[in-house]
Amino acid sequence: MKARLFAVLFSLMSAGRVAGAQPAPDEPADEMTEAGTGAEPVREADVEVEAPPGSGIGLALGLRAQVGFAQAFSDLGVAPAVEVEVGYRLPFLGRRFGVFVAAGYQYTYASGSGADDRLAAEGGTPYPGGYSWDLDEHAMTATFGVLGRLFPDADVFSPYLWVGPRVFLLESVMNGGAGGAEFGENTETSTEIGVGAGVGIEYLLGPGPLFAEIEMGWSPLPHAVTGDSSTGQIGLALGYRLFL
Amino acid sequence: MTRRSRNTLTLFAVGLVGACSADLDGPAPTVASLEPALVCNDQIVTEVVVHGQGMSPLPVDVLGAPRVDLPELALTLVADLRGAPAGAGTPVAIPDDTEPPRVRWTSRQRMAFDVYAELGLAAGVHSLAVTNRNGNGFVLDRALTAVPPPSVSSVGPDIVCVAGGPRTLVLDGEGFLQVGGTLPTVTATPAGGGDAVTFDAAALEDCFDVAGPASGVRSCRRLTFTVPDDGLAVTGDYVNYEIVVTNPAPAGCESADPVLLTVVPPPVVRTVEPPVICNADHDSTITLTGDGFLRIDGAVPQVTVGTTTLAADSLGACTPVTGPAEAVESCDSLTFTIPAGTLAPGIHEVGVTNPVPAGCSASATATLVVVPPPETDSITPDLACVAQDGETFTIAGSGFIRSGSAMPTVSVDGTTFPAETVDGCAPVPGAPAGTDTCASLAFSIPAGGLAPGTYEVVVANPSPVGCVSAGGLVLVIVGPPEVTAIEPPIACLATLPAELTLVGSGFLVVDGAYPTVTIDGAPVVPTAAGGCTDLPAIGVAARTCTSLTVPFPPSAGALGSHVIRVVNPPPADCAAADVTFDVALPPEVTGVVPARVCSVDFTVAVAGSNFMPGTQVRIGATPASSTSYVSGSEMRASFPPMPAGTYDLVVSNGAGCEDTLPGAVTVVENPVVFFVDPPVVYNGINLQVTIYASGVVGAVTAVTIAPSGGGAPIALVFAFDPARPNRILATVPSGAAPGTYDVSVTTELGCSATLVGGLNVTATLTLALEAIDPPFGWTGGSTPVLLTAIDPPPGGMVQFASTPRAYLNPTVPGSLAMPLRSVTFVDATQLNAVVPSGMAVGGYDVVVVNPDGAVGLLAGGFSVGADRPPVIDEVTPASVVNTGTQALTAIGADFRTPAVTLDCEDSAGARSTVTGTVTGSTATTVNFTIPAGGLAAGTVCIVRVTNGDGTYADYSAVSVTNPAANLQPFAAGTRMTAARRAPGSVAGRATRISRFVYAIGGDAGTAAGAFDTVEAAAVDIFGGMGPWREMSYRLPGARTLAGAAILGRYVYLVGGNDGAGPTAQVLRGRILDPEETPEPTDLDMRRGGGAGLAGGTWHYTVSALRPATDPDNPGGETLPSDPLVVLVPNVPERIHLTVSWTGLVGATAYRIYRSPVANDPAGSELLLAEVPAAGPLSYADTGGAVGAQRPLRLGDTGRWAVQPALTVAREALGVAIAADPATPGTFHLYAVGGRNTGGALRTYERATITVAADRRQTLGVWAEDAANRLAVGRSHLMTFAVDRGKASRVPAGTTYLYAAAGVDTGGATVRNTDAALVQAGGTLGPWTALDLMTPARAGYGAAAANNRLYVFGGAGAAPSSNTASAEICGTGVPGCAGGPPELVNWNALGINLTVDRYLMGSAVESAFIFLVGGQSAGGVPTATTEVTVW
Repeated sequence: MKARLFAVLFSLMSAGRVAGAQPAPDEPADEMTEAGTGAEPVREADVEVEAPPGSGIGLALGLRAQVGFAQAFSDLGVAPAVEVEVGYRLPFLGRRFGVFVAAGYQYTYASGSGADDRLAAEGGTPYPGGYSWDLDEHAMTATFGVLGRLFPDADVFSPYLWVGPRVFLLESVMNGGAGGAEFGENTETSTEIGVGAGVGIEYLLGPGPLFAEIEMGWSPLPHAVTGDSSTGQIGLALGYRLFL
Repeated sequence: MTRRSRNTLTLFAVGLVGACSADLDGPAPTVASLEPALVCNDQIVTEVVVHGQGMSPLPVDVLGAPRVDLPELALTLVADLRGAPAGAGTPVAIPDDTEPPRVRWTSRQRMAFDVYAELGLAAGVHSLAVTNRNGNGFVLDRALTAVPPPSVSSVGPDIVCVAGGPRTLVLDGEGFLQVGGTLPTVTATPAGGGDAVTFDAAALEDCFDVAGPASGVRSCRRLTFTVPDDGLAVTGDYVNYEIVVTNPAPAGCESADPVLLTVVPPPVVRTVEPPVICNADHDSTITLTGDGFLRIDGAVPQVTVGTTTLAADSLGACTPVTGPAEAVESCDSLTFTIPAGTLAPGIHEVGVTNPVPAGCSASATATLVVVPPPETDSITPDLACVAQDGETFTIAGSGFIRSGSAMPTVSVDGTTFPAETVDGCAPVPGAPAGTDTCASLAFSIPAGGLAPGTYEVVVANPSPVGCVSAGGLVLVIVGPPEVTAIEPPIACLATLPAELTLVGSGFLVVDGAYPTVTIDGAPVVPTAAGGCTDLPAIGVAARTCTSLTVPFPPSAGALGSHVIRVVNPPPADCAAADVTFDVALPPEVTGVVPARVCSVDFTVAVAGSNFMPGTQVRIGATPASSTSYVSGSEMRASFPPMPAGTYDLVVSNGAGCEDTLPGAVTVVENPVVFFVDPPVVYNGINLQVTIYASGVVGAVTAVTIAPSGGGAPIALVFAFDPARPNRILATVPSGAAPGTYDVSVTTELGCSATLVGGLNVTATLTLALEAIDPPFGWTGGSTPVLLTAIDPPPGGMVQFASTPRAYLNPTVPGSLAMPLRSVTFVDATQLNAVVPSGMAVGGYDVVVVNPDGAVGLLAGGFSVGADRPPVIDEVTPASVVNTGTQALTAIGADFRTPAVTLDCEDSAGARSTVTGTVTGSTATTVNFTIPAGGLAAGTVCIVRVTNGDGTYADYSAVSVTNPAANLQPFAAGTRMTAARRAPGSVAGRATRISRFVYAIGGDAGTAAGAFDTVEAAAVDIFGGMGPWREMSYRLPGARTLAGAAILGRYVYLVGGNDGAGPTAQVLRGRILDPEETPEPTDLDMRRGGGAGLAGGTWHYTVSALRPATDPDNPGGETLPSDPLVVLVPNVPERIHLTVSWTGLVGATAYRIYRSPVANDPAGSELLLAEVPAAGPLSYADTGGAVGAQRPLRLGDTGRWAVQPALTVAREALGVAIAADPATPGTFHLYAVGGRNTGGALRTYERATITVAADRRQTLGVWAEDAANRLAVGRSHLMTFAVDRGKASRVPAGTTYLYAAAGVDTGGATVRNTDAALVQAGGTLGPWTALDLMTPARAGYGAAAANNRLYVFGGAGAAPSSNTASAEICGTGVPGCAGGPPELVNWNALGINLTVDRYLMGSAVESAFIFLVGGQSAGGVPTATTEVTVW
């Protein structure tokens, strides 16, 4: 099972390279068919067509940085995140539409304190300061998104919108202590299915666009240490895509 | 790479690998030890610290409701306290959510939890599991030992006295812990409150090492601790302390249920009572008073007197001591016994020790004085006469105790006399003041205070000192002399004696001195004393003698009485009572009263002259036991019981002066009562019983019954016949209390006898008596009745038990109940009995008493009328058709305002009642009609005519046919005992209700095999046949093919074949009348002297033998009488019974039958004896064996008598009897046709039967009417005599004789049927040829009824089953030209016989037609029978 999961991860990471390869012989290529002629389809390799500027082979490699605000959904705090993506701009409609996969990392945290008579010094006297705790919440994300641009990808400016499922690989790290005695660190992990979506604008700069985006991501966070909560956050992202 | 980044990468990797999975990880705990490792699982809270690593609390739900989850702690029992594995235990989780918290976390190296009662921790060794919330855990095996609190089951002892030294006590229980070197402590707290005292345990026993991590721990079952001297305070009688054990820490629980320890004080002695005793010869009982004398489970204190220890006998003034397990009382007094001889005289200290375990002792603060017993040296005087008054005796000796006013006593052979004075006295040392010891005493004996004798004299000191002197002191007491006789007792004036010998006793000779004797005041000097014995050795030489001889002085020789006095010599100088000596003339005796006496003590009065007070009387050789002088002419003399006999009476005035009355006195035996019959009587009736006795001489003067066991006797009215002295008839009055009575008889001689428990009076109405049938009789005759019991009996009731007694008790109070005769036990539901004639007219209660005392009562159940109940001889017509209203006539006698009902049963067995309408009646006839339309053909009805007085008669039976007068189908009857061809057959009655069908003779297939036997079967009222049995008497010779007819009881058998050929002989048998029997009338019972009848029920019957000249029963026997049932008592002597009876005129002898052994049922009687009629009509049964012969039975005929013979031999003839139309009481017997060796006959002959007033018949000679012949000679024919009773179309008073078909000389069938009118004198009118029978028949069965002639079988002169009939003509009958005797329509009846028959016998009884035997298919004789209703 684990081997298969690694294989999936690897395939996602190498999607750009795969997308840039020649189609397999038995794979349908872009075909031009004359209507009503009944003639043999003409292969792209056989026809010289001028590509639109910037469109390239349609691959897109992206990198983004993001500051999320989990407070909108839970008691978790600010959630910084980074993400890389590999996409493919579909070769029609001026490559307005594309798909991509992205992998990212997100971190957030929480802390608190409380009173508990069971936490007591020798002799049974409760620790006067009660106890405190610190939660570090880590998430590795994998997103498969569908992106649509308002304009062809060769335009300087193009608003866009994307949406897609997101896999959250979550880790809650809990530390605590009372009366100067540490509880010891406990770690709780899980994998959750969530969603991601974003709306942004691209500005063509160089071989690809610079983009700014308002992004939202969410998944359940059902850990014992956290209680039934979520990873939900709304963030502002800034990144760059390289069109190939 | 930082740790976090490593985690992140790991997270990423693991997250992808384990997508959608979750995991929590963190620190893992370890536990090193618990402190303490030993706890108590109850009562207290013990904090246990867990030492280890990695015990990590976990904050959870921090984004929701943050809290901390502590590591989970759980204990699991792994072994018991002895270390034995405990199996899979259920973990006990230590809850961490309680308030206050029971689990506390201090650091990852230290946690703590509490062990407390509510945790429910089992005793034993537990493992501890610590589990962090991240799932990581650790188990420390054998981490903690939990022990229960100690428990104390007992303290031993549980009662102690702690004064005088320390007391070691033992506690038994469980869980006494030793922890290291520390033992439990024991706390004693007063139960009522007060300061507790704590003791350290001294030792533990019965221990084992407690398993688990804690070392040096033992659990024990016994604890010993010591209470020091006075270590527990006690006030009053006792104090209870509650004892509690507390284990050492850390398992410091204490025992929950304290046991009680009772602490008592030592006893205290305050007083000793009595303070002075003598202990030499008797036990001394001493009572101590004080405090705290304990009785523990019956154990009492020990008392120490001087050096002697004794157990207390009893304790007094006690109060219970509650608390100890033992039964303990604390008492204030104590009594003990000092065995005789235990203590020497002197002063002794007294102490008390309580029984263990409270065995404290009292200090010896009291004393007891012991004195020696008295001693005697002499008594003065030592010989005295009992009659001397106020004799004073002095005893010298020592130790005679006077205690205040209490003086010693003197005992003379058990008789005690108080000392009157004492002398030589001094105080007893150490004793209370007033207690002295003395050296002599004096006492006196009143006159008569002692009987003569030699006595030992002892002195007893007064109580409570007691003690008696030793023996050896002798006192002789004599009585005054007594003269009991003088020899000679009386002297004849003519022969005076020379000396007299005084005989008596107590004549003393003291130191050689004789008593002083005077006669009429003049002294005479004894010359000798005889019968002397020495008195015991005392101070004088004394002898006592029984005779004293003195000379007879001349002065005493005068006629009359002379006074003699005797006085003994001193010191016992008493005088004898004066006696007299008579000088008399010769006596004369003239009489004695009574002259007959009973063999008991008796007294007679003797009359005569010259009697003197000394006159002697004797009877035979027996002298009077006493005489009483009344006057010179009368003496009374009493005698002891003497043997029976006659004796002389002798009166004597001395030698030569006697007179004798020869045979003057007869002594008779005392009677003996040995049986009362019946032994059980019902107290609701006045009942006469028969008392059987023996030895009754003279008249009986009284008969009484008295409740056995005590009670006032009841005098009975009785009758006694001196001619029957062994039987007394006495009446037991009604109202006698139920119970068992003794029966006593007293005779005029004063003899009396009592039969203890001889009569049982009962009142138990538990016999389920149902009915008596008929419920009436009449005073002029006896009435057989049937008593029935309810079947099954109701709950608590019983049926008849063999054999009850039955009585009729007049409803008039005070009348005597009459026993029913011949009560015969048939079965538990039926009794036969006879109501005797002569009963007074009136109503009666019916009472039946079982032998066991159960009584059945039918109040007013029977009535006796002045008039004879009705009888029905005949009902005509015997058959009616089931249309419209049918008229019938009952013919009989004693009809008085009759009513008629019919009890009908159809062929299916359904019963119905039809009420007749009486249209006219006379004393002998009742004309009535019935609605016959609703009755089914084949119905048979019993006609009942009920007189106005309620008496009734039944008649069986009238049948119902359809309008065609068809017969009902034949039904098979019972089989005869033998297959018979050509038998004669008739049906007759032994009584009005006892009917029989007879088969007479016949053969086995040919005439040569003719039988001489006769058999019969009983027929019930509905035609049902009982079993056949052979009659007692056979024919004089074999006979077949004969004709048979019956008139009344007489059966005529005419002609036939005797096996050798046709015969002219005529025989007649008479069906015996059960009323013509001897009648047992009396019974006498005597004791058998060891041989005779055993106890039980015996049945007797008596029959008579007729002379050979008897025309009805020549040389034959009558039926037996009704059985006489006798209950014989079971006595060792056995019983002889004498049965008496009334005879029959002309009888030559009588036969007595008896049941073979006691309690055999009725009907089992066999011949016992035959006695001639010329002798007494009684028989004494001494218990001899019976023979094998049985008496005749109902239905039997007498011996067959030979009658006048036919004029010519005839066989296979037709026979009929017809009434003479002109002469009542005259009948004619006809023999028609038949055959002889010459062939078929055409003639008939007749003989006249004359019926006398007593219904006896005489047959005249036969006469042949040679001129009036049948048209065709024939045999195997049937002849019918048809009168109005059989055919309503025949005029009254007219009888036609029909001669039907047969066979001719050649054997060919002859179909002719001829008829002739019976004329006055018996001759027949001319034969008239009638319609030919179709088909031809011979040897058939026949019957005439319903205006028809019926013929059965014999078709073609061979066996057949078809039947036919012809109708006798009458007005309106189709095909008829005139009236009788014309016949019309020989037609088949449409019914068949059950078997083919030829040469059968046929008979008619009322409405029933019987066919018996004959030749069946294949020519084989048959024993079958069949019956139909006409």
